[in-house]
Amino acid sequence: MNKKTTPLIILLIIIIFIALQSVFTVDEKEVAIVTTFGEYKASYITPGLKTKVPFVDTVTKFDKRLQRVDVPPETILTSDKKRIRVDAYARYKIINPLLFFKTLTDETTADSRIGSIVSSRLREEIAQDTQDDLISERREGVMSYVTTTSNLFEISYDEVYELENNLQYKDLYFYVKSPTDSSFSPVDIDQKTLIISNAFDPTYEIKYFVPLQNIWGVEIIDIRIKRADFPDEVESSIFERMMAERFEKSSAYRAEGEQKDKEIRANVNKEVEITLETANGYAAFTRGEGEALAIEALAVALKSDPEFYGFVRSLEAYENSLAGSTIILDPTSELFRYLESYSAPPK
Amino acid sequence: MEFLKKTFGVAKQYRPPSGGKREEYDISFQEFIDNVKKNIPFINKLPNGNKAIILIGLIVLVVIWAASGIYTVGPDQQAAVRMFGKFDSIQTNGLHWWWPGPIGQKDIVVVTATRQLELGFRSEGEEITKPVPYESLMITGDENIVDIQAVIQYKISDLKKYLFSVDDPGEADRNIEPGNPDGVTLRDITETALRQVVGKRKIDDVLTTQKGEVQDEVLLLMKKLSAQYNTGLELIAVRLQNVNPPSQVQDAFDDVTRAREERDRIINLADAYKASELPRAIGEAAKITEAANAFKQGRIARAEGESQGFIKLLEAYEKSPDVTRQRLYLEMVERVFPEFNKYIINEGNILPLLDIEPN
Repeated sequence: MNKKTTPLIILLIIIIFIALQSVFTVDEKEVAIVTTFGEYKASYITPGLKTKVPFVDTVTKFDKRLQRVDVPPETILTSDKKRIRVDAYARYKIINPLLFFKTLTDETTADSRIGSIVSSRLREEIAQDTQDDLISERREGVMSYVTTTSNLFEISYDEVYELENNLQYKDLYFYVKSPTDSSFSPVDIDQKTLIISNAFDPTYEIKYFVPLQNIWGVEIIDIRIKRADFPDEVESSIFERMMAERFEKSSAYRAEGEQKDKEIRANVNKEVEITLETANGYAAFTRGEGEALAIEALAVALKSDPEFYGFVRSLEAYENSLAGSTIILDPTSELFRYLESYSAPPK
Repeated sequence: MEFLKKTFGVAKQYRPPSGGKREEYDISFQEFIDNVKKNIPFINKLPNGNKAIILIGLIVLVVIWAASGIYTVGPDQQAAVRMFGKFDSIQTNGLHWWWPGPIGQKDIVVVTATRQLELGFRSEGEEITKPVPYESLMITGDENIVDIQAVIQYKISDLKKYLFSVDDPGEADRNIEPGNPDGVTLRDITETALRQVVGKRKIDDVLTTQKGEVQDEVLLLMKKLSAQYNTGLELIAVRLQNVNPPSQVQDAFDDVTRAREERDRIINLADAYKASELPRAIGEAAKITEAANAFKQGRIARAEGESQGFIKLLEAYEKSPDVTRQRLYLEMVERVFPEFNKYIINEGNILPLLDIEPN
């Protein structure tokens, strides 16, 4: 290097350094604020290449993407006195980096403060719900209610007047509770005017809220109960109850089988009995009828000469029934008339 | 062109025996440097020769830097390019150039592939899965506990949202990098939706008939949450792989199945008894009635025959009654008497012949 160029190169390096110090980038994922010796100067919400005063301005960047806050699992007593373990999360976004920087300073602090707000709102809400509300379809409604209330930041009466100048009228929320009510409810526009002009019914308790984004510069987008489970110590009794329910079912099936079996068999036996006895009855009737018709048929013949019928029938009967018997005969009987004499008997 | 030839030399092409093509230049590097000094006018105006080398080095570095901005996007990929952190555009399939760092940034991501998330279990190689009871056990609407393993299919539908909207710690075991919403965010969405849907149904419905409805409803709720969180993900399907009672009570559930089968078996046996016994009885009844019918008809037929036979006999008899009577009688005697033990007693005492024991 010769003596002429060396200062030139040093100058060049200094110029480059200053140039680099006077620009900064804001990424698509970020927002930035610029402070001069700790005093706020500007916020940058949109990404790109930005300029600042070198060495004097300090850039602080925050993540503007949707952030996740885990609410640690807690066992909470519901209004129907059931213990339920709730594991929830919240999603929030930085809306106003300046307010965020002023009140929460960094993301770690933000996570813990938002986490505790969400946690306490959840506790309040769950304590008023039944277990059924939390595990059933009504969970959706509970969630959106908690999201709404978590986005409201409670302030004191004095702060309302302090803030009134900086806030839009619509950004003030009042909740009132009469001595007879059990919980707070939002007010309508007329009541709001009354409260601001300090003319509202003094027996009412009033709570004053402003949107969280006007205080902390963040908006809670969503709060979800990921799980609402039974606490571990209850789990074994749940399993026992499930087994008892199943035992009830299996016993019912077995009893039903036995019942059906008996019913069907008894019914079959009845049908068999009826069928057979009907047949027997029919048979008896038919046989009798046959006999009767036979008698009728014979009677026609018999009437013409009953004596002769008796004779012929007797002969038949002798023939069929007397074989093998012993018979003692009188030689004087008609049968033997010709055994001792061939003469014709006198007429 | 003459200037370029003089500066860079002339390339001589030749084919080496190993094949291919090589180029060799007819000037050395030192000659090249000399040529540059000689031919590029402003370098000669610079006071020192070494400076020229620094300048050329800088130019070369700038060229290399600029060349590093060349990138390709595969047919299954998209690239999101940023300049000074500000999103510029999405590039698809092809060869592109974008400012290299630190001016520009680019993210090239496979977007067409269907990805999947496992809930309640993790695959560990082929056919091997490890259950994750912490995720899979959940409450049903009738306060039972059910064990569900599910697979969620999704793909990236909006790369800009996917890359820049959601802060996510990522999931190392699934190769999800921090900042991509299909890590913890998608898992949160899945768990929330599945538990909410199962939480309003009875365990028996979840285990049996309503599996399809649960899948549809979970998918719908997940789509809603995914849109609300701007994840840039398109949820394609929710598939419930295994829906079982928890292992602690599995036996009791199996016993219900067994009891139901037992009931069905007993009923089937009874039905079989019915099917065999009734026809048998009907057959038996037919036998009885037919026998009676046969008796009846036989009886009538016989009576009619007898009756008509008697009338014929009577007609013949009336022509000569005495003789006929005698003949009939004697014919009977002829037929019957050979079968008798006969005693003919001629006016004597018959008592000794009677072999009758006194009472």
